[in-house]
Amino acid sequence: MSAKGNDEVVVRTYALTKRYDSLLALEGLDLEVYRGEIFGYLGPNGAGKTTTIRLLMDFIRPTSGRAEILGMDTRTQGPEIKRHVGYLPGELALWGHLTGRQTLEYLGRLRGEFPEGYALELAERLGLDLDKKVRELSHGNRQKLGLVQTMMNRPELMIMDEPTIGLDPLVRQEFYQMLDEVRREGRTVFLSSHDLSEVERTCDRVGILRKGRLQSVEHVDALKHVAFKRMTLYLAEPPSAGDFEKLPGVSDVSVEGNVIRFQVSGELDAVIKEAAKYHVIDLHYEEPSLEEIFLTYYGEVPYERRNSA
Amino acid sequence: MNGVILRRTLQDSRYVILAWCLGLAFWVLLLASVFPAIEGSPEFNQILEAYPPVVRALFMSDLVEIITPDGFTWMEFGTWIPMFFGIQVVVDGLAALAGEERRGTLDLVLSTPIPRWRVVMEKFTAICIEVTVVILASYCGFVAATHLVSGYTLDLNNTAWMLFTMWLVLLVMLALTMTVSVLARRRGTAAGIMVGLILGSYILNAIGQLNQVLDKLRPLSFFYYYHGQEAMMGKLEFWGPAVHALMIIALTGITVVAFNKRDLAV
Repeated sequence: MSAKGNDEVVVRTYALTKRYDSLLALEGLDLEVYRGEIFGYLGPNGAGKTTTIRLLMDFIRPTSGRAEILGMDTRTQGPEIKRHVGYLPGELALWGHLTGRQTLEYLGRLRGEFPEGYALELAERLGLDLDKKVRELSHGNRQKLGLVQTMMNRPELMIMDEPTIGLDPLVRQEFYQMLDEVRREGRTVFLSSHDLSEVERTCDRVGILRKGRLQSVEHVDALKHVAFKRMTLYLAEPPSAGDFEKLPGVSDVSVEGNVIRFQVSGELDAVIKEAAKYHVIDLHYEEPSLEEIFLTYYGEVPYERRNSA
Repeated sequence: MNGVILRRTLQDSRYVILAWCLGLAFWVLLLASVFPAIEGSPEFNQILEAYPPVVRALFMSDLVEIITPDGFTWMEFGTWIPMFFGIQVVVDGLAALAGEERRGTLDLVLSTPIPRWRVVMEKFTAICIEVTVVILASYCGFVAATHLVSGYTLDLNNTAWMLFTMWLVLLVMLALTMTVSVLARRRGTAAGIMVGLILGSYILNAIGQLNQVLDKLRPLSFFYYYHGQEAMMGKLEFWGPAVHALMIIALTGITVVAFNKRDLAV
């Protein structure tokens, strides 16, 4: 069941597997994405996110298993499915000699209709100049063009591979608002990312992929408890490691002179209060990579085996 | 077929088409203007006959006399234009699918409700139109030349038939390029294979005439079915064009099936 209580399945995979010679890119993926939710597909580089998306788009064919979108088989009903799907590739390639407007017109006509008014509205919201040739656009502006072409036909399902790469923070915020609107309209988004904070901000549920295997499907709130941050405090006097070790969510404490390093998950309130007992000279705070989270919390054990244990 | 890809492909190549049309029409007029000097010099025929058989074979010039308008046109247009313009056709054929796939733009095209077979057919049709327009421009050049240059009395029916056979050879090259590009998957590999196939096919057909063993292999060459020389001499043969037409249909069918079955490159 989805986060919003809607159980209409928009994307469903059955033991979807893709092998390239000796490389198992995706193994036995069973996944359901529900109407009206924004589903984040998380994983480090090479985890199988793009492979999954390319299988869903029928760009590549499964070694075994199958997938359905809106109840239709991706292998046999690809063109019919794509009437209802918007797609943003991870490495967006466009026609350099066309302007933004010509690009949208071309892709719109391939879809059967170029909704010029809405496309212009989206471009304006993202601050995109459609009269420049694509080859003259920066990477960020090309990405904006990619987002507009994905959304302009108001598809029932949007499949986006790393949609915010190259976007500046303000444009990201605008894009997040657009996603909120899409969610309110009851449309569905399947987006891949390796940015944990982005997924926390935008998604209802996340699937976590590692080495071609689905490790976990979680509601975003659960993921927040799983994620940890690494903190370093530079103090005026040597701290007591024990005082920090006993704080909730704190682990892996080490002290070197006046510097204390530790990991913390969950709320920071207790850590801040403990640190306030010292004269704090500096504070470093960094989020771990997904790879570190996986190694810390999931190890090498795949999703289905942990669930059945 | 809604023709969106076809129109886009033609629009993208409009300047290339224009350049080829003007270039070949100009070349035809230039040939015609030079011809009177050749016509009055029978020694050119003697020079040609003095060439070793292998050279005459390479120029596919065993039937014609260079001092006649038909023979001169064949030697200077019919023999090497298929190779020369063929380079453009191969480049376009490689760009059609393998080029778009390598750049990644094919992903966006196929993210729309366009089935793969239609992408192949619209791209193929667009380049067919390109070839047709260039061949028609050449024909217009020949018509203009026969009216403008006295002494250049070309049989325009024979010329049309020669151009028709050339058009088919070019379409075979196009169909073969698209098939190879889909099967080879890499544009560079496909380009290398095509260069080998075209040169190999041409040389096999030409040299095969001089060698009994190779002669039996000549039907493997698609140039074997190119009867432009015979057309210029007024000998209309239908089986060569028929074989070319069948090759185009078969190769396009293979391209559609192979492209439909395989994974797109990342």
